[in-house]
Amino acid sequence: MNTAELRVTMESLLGSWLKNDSNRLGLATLLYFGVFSTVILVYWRKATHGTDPLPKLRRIAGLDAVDEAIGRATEMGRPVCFNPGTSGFSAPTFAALAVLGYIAGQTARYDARLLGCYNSPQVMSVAQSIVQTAYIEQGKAESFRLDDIRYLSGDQFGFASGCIGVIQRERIAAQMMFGNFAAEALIIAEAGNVAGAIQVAGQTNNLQTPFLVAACDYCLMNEELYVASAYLSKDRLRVGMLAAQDICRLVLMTIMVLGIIFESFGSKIVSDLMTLY
Amino acid sequence: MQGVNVPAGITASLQPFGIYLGVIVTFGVWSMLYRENPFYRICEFAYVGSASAHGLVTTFANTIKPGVLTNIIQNGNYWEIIPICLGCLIYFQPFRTKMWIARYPMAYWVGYNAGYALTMRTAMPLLTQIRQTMLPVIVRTANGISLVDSINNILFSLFVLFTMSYFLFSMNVYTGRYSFLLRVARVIMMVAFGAGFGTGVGTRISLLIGRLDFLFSEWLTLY
Repeated sequence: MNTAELRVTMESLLGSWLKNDSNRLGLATLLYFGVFSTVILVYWRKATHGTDPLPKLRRIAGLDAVDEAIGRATEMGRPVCFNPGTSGFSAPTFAALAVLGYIAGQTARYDARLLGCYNSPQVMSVAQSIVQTAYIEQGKAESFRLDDIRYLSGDQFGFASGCIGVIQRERIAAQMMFGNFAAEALIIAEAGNVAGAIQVAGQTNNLQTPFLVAACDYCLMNEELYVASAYLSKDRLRVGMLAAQDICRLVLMTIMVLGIIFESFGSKIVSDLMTLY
Repeated sequence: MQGVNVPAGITASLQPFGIYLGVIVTFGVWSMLYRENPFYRICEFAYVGSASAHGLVTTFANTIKPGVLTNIIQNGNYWEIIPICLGCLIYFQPFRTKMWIARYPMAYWVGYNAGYALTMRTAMPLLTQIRQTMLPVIVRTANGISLVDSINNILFSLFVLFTMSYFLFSMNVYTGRYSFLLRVARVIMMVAFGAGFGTGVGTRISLLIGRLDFLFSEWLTLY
């Protein structure tokens, strides 16, 4: 049976179920979710129930610099500024908030002041809770300052100009830019650079990464942002999830290589199988 | 959002005022290049304040007004009162003893967004990209093998695979004698970022030219 006949069979079996994209990737997406979820569950169980050591993560210089930056701010007696960019709740924002928990814990531990500049009132509210929880966990509830977590503006450049003002007036010693940034990325990073702050950035927008690489001391590239919370916390469960994601990446790379080989020999079987339904 | 009809005469008489205000604010923002100063601070606060005010008005006109007037009162979708009530709980945020109430709408909002991020909408572009990467490394044409296209596809495939393997964090594939491959992957990304940087700088320069054009043509009327 060739792929054309298979396609007819699949359509008669599944009808219009899953058929919600023009690229005919409904079935491939479902299978991908199935494999991905299974691998995640296996590693989740391995991390929570097992005692076997989990894979060691490779070194990421940008994340090692987070502690260094907080230490520097503590020594200088100047604040650390956390900036999650101009986005509501998206995947990078969730990753950034996980990093915020770690940063807040460290600043509470070393009695450094933590400022936050927010563009979204919803993200700001969640950030307030995260920071407060981190301070309570470190036994420094009285050091938590609600007013240091600030909503500046919902407007992109209004937010950027507000950030510049905060960076200059508060004379920050370290800036953590984790999240989703657009055109304001360079404006904020440059302001931090002028203020002499050590800057660590991590975001997934390919268009803005070059500017952050140029303006910041350390820059996490794309996916490295999603690794940040696991890498910093060394939490077994998070490291396990990361190992599972690596396996999924490897599966996708294998499919890609197979596709390239088959295409080179004139067969479209792999790409046809991906678009079966 | 409905605009306000201002008579043409008033608009014309206000135009010079608008130009001078634009010039003052432009120089106010540029003064930051020297250092933080009160002039910049006034411009910053004015901008942040006006942007927030604009956001409030547009949210009311484009979201709240049609949501309440049109959907609930006119169309009778009374169930929409439930999310509105849930949203109103967020106003407990400033009250320290009742702040916990504001966490309920936030929990719903975070959960909704996390769920939305997990839908097939996010996986499909990924799989589409994977499929589009499956290019033949030997490109055959009517005249035989196209060397240029073949080299192009080989480089493209290698660059994609190198870059993807750079993001394998728990598998130390590039260790020992293969550690240089990690640097190769980084160089590939830096080349791509460099191209992006060049494009981005061009865009920023065009913004500067736009501002200089405003100063020279509308304020100084040099041309």
